[in-house]
Amino acid sequence: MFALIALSAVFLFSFNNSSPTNAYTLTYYRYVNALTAGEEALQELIRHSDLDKEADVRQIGAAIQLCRSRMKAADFWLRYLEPISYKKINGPLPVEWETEVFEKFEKPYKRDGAGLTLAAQYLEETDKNKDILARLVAEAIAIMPVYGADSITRNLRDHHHFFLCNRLFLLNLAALYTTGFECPDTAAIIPELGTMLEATDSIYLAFNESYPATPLTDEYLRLYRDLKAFVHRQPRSYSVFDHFTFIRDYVNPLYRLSQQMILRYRVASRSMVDYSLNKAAASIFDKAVYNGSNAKGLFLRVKDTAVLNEIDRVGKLLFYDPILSGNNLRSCASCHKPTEYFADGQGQANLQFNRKELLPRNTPSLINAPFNHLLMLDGSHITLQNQTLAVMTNPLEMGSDEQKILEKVLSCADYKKAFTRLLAYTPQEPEITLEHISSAITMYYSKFSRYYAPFDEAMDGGKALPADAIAGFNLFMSKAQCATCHFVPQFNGVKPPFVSSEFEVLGVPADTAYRQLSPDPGRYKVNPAKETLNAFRTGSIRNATHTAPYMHNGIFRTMKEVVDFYDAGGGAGKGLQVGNQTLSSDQLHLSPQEKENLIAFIKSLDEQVVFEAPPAKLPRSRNPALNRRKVGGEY
Amino acid sequence: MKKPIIVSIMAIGAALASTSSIAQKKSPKIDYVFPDAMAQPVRDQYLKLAEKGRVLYELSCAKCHNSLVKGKLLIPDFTEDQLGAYSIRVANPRHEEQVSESNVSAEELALISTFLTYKKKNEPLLLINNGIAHQ
Repeated sequence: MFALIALSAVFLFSFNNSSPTNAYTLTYYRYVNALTAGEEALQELIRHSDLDKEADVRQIGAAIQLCRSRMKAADFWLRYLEPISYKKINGPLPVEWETEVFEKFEKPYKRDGAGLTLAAQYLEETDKNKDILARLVAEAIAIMPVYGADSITRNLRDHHHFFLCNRLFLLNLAALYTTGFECPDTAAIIPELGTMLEATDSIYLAFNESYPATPLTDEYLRLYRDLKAFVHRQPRSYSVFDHFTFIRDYVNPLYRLSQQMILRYRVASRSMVDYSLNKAAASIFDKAVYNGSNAKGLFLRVKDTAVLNEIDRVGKLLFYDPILSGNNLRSCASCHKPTEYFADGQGQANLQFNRKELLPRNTPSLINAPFNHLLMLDGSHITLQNQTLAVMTNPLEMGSDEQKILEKVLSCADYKKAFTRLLAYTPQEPEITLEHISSAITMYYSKFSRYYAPFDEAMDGGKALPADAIAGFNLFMSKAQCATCHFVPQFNGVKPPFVSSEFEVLGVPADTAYRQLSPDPGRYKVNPAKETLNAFRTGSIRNATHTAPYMHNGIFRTMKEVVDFYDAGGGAGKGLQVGNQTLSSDQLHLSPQEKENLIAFIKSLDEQVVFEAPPAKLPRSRNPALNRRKVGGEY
Repeated sequence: MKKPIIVSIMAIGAALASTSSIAQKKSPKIDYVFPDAMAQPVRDQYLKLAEKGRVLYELSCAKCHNSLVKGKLLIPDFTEDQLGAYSIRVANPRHEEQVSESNVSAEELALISTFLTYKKKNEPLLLINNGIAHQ
């Protein structure tokens, strides 16, 4: 019986394999083959050209543009079905050091980019070499057969992949496709968007014809055509394109409908890159749109409200309790001040444990920290709990050690009783561990990441937003080149499908006179590769109004200074030697009014966080010396 | 290579229709097999991790994967491929729900894999084809 089923399965598969039978599959092959043919023609052209002749360069440029249109036509599938191969067709960077979440237990690894974006960029250079240009295209050609392999094309046989491709497509409409993230020619961004929307419409049609049991609804298709018409009416320049209305009135409502279909049609994923996305989130601006870090730690499985409240109570006490530090004078709240957005607005950095020198980095806000996959500005931690523990045991920060933390915490009857009771909810742990302590802390502070900002309410609930904030958002998404690193919706370095954290080299100076580069090696400490020197994880700009000073070393006191820094092209733009700067060193030419608008937009990302008063008192220890400690510590 | 015996869970499911006690039934004492080259202190550490993994397996996996064979509780053997960390999350539609980030953390997934890797294999090897792969 089993053998019979297996046999018929093999037969069916091979049948499907050899002849793509439906309109949808045919559309797939048509678009993918057109891209391959375009790339091959481009390769021929490069081979027979002379890069010193301007006419030849122009001809190659036009051929690249044609290929890009074909790539955009197939982007719906290419990017989702094989994201790693995709980087050879459309790598945004020549070299990327990546740690995606499902690889976070491994060392970061290098991915060489290639393809059309890099080829177009290379063509702009003054000193060009034909072989280098040809290689960028050859790598794209070499990867194309992947998209014909059975492991990829078998996805086309049912509706599942389609809705997941479409989900990523919609997220990228909001986060990437209008920002120039991978389009060096800014004049081509909106025209390419038009091409892509048109091609995707034909994919939609073919899908509905081939899979009538799970169609895109009429409501979805109507709204999608409205979106196309909207883009058609918009100006061709991405800097005057109305990104705000595009997302609020079209992309996000389409996302809502798409999520409904994903649930209704019981769409199941076969791709690891989907795991972070949440099927239940109806809006791109719902904070549950993706899972970042596990804030509950060991208490992940606790669902009971009373138990959750108890963990929250203990977590709060611990957050304010200097018992976690080596000298019982310093708590989490000493630097992450709960009424100052869990940052410290006082100075460039906080004091070291010795109370003399300053720490090398500015205190980051803990709000929205769980929306990252790698923690710390150098990405040295992969869980919130380990990060918390590392602060407690860092001799420069809280200066304690693992054994003392546990002993001192458990010397307090309240903590001991509470954690003993909580053991029942972590049956895999036979005894109370440091991870119980760190899990309670991360769960406590993470609840302050659940709030929304006026911008979210405008996008999602249609509330009005001041005109200058809207103008600022449109600049953020275009001319000011912010959104190519601070991605919608969290405005941090996590882009769809939200499975990795990005790092950038900005050339942040050590002093505001730009005499030298900040000596902090950043990511290099974790992954010593020449590209990662002085690279830092892209932070969120949410609540930035309240988290001055800025940058890893707190060098800029105001948002105006930060905007000026970017406007000048970062450290390299200011004349510092930053060989590996990932930020363009070109000036942005923002007017004073444009800068003000940008800041108005950033202010619209101030979340309406409801803070709590500190606990009245801390648990008593059986060691009387410990009972002199103060709520929140002393420095 | 030895040819694994593949047992379809549908067959077992039919045999189990009358018993709903698998989830409640405690796992028997587990024997572990560690590589000979593994030094004792490392082995001790792995044993602790595997035991944590066993508890998590019981919480998150046993209900679907364990079975009763002649009244004896059986924890199936998994191949190295099947234990490929994150791919477990999308191994099948049911996993997509049950083994999601909000139900099993990445660290827990690693512990479960450790348990299943070092758990002594059944004799004969019983590789469970969970039968709910995509159509």
